[in-house]
Amino acid sequence: MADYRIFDQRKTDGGRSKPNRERLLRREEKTIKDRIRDSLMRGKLDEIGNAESRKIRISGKGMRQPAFSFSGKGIYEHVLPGNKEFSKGDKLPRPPQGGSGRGNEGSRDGEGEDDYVFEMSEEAYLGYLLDDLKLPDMVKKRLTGSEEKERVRAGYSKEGPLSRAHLPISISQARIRRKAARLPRERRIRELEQERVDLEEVLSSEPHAPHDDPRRMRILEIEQEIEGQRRKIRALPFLDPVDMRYRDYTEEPKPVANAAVFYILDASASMTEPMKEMAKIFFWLMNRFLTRTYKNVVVVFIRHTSTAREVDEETFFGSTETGGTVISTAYETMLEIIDGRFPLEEWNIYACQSSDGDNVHDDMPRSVQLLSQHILPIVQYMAYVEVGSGNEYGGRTQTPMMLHLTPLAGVNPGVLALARVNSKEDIYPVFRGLFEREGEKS
Amino acid sequence: MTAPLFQSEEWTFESLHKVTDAIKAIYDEELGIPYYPIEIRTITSEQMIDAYGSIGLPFYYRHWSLGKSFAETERAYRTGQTHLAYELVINSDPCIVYCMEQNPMTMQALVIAHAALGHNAFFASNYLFKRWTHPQSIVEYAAFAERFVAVCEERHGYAEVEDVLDSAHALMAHAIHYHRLPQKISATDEAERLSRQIQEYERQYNPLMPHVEPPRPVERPERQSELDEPMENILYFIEKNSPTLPKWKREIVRIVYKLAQYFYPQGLTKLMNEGFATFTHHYVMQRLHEKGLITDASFELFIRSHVGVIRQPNFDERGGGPNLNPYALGFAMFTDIKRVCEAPTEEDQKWFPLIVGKPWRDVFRTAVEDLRDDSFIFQHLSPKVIRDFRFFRVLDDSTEDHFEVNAIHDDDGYAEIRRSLASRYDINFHRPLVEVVKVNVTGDQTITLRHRESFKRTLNEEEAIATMKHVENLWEFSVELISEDEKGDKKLHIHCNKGNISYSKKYMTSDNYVM
Repeated sequence: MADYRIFDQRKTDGGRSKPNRERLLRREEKTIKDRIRDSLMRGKLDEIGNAESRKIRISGKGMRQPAFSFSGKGIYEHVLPGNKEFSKGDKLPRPPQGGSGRGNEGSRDGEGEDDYVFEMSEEAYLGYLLDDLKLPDMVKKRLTGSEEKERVRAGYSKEGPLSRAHLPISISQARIRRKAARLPRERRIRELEQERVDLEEVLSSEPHAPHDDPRRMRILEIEQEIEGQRRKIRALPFLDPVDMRYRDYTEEPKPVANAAVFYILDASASMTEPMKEMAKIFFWLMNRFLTRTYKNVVVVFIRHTSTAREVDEETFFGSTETGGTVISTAYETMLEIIDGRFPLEEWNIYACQSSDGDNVHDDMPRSVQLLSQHILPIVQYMAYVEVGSGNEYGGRTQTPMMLHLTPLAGVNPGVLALARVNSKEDIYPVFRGLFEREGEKS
Repeated sequence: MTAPLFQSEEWTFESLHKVTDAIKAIYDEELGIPYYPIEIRTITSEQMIDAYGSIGLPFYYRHWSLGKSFAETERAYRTGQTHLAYELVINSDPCIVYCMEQNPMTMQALVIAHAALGHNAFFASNYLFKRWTHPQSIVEYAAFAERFVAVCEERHGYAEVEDVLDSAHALMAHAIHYHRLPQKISATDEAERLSRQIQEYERQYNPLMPHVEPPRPVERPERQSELDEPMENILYFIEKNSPTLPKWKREIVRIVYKLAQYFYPQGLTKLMNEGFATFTHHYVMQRLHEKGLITDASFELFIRSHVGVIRQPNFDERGGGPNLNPYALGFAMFTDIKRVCEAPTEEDQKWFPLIVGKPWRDVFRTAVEDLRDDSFIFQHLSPKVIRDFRFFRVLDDSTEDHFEVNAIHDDDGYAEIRRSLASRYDINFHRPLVEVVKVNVTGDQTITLRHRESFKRTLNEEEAIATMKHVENLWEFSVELISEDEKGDKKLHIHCNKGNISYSKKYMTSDNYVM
């Protein structure tokens, strides 16, 4: 009978359903955003961005596609399986719900069954998370130069000028199209050939068959048809406008400047583990936000106790080394690094500091001086985030740092922002508060 | 004693080939119903779920509802509905069948027997498929459809295209000419037509000017308002007669009803198709085992899967009807037909005089070629099968609070049960028949759709209103729906005009009907 073939398709790109899922997500965008923000507010922050947090559950009810259907009322006769003891005339109670299956059951109330669970990519998740955040307007004022755009390659499009045509790909597409169009005809030709061969075989065993024997006629017909099919195959255009592919470009804003971000973490003994964790989450958000906004972001991690050190990311978050607290050392280190590696004409400097608010008493004047005279004048924006357990200073006096920094913030509005995070639930709202567009602050 | 074709459950391409050859040999020799050339594709499980998202076709247009079905399939598969593994086969020439990477070899054999032979032969031989579908060109057509929709998205934006597709989908069950054969235009020609549309569309695009439609010559559908015949293919009617719907939207509507036509036979033959494919896989695997070509262990694995798939829960269990498991009933019926042919009882002589003693493969072939689910049940559901399933029939009148048993598996009941069961597989059972009956040509272009109740089965009003909004969306003028009872009295009237919906319904207090 018919032949068969086996293809290994596993290596070809999967993700055919990805665009469909994307469309579904787009439809449900508002629900998804609310869900994400909701789960953040409820303090599941240490799972930001991990696979579990990226699973969004949406009720199936909103995604029904309507169609004309029956209400379920009326007269039906159902054939059911599994009669145990019934005879004609017996009465049965109705099954509880949904068991009748006549016509349309109407919508069942939202239960786990109708819900859809999606796992979205980290990219998409962050998109929702950081969506409405913009750089503080302050930043834009400091940017030098005009807004330049540059052309960047962006894949292929199906139209364009001939100078941008990508011939190998176009020809490849053409080949696919021609092949697809040829296949049915080739198969037909094979069938006809087979028929002809069979007929000729038969006829060769009957040499005295007349010239107008129907089988000879049929062979002629077959030959004509084959020629016709072949002609049609030849007539397939080699290259068709629909095959053409062109190199595509898009314009992207040229980053006017690079950004250098300094993360300063107080690793002293007075920072407890939970506090460090809150700080860590804050830095994580900050980092994500900046890498989305700037093309080129360089991050400098400074960890300090009574001395400050530049470290790598792993050490920054992971190290258990601890000690006393001298904040000015961190500021000094930061300034040294800026001097050495980040000339101000080319770099926008940001700083994000996290501490529990304590500082060695006699270091305060020096710290304040460094900030107000050296650091704040040169940074675009600095966020000071104080983490606490909520019990210590809540309701009592402010921490030394907060006490001294508050006037500084008053003098440098838009450059220094202060915030306090008492528990995990606060982190995200505080983060947004620090970065909301001016004029939208609530 | 022949050596088994494979020992290990780890499949290889070599074992796939060997098994396919062996299965084909048995099938060709002993079952023999013609089928299309087979194309087996090995895929990852992700790709399988992907494929489900595009209904098994290698190309399909993008839509969020397919994203939804992806999620459903994934969940269904995770919760153990493993028959999905051999469900994914489409009606095409060549017939494409998917073998999932993780399947043990026994399962691959089962997939091949079930889908690559069973379903394939059904698609290739059944009259409905022959009449309504073009398997040689469906893949090409779907590719063009995908492309055309993508081009529209580029030109007009996702939201607009989604809007049209949503509305067209709402009417997909009303996109067939039931009483008229489809036109002779082949799907290849249709695909070529679409391709020309795409090219023309792309050539016309001038980014400097907003897209302006050339004025469309107005085709008046009918001089008078009443249609000569009610039109059941609502999508077709809209596509042909809409006064203002832009050309690209009409083309999309056309794509949807062309695809509806392609899928139409599948809804009417689910029982037979699954029954035949299940019978095929069971028969073939058994024969392979008899011939020593598969090991006892493999056969046991197969039986376990098979038994799970053909299980029919009882009425008081979950899944116990009235929607019956098509694998269960279909397999039982084909097995029974074979029995009636080979070893008929007196009862069989009485009920099936025309097939007793005939070669069962010929009877199978005739059934597969000429019948569909409702006629299959009418002709072949035997008292024995009714007894095996212990079928009984209940009267379900929504005004009563109970069911009443009015037929069981005895002499009085067999014919009744058979009749009722057959009618459940009729197209008009699951979806209401709604037809276009009138167009107000000279006035405000309102079209009137009509539904007629039978057995006092009313329309779901919420769904009807939602669907009428979609009708209005495509028609672009006002639309109304009338639902009449059996006497011809208007029971429900829905009118949609520019977002204003009015509807009214009548209470028939004399019949105690309260809606």
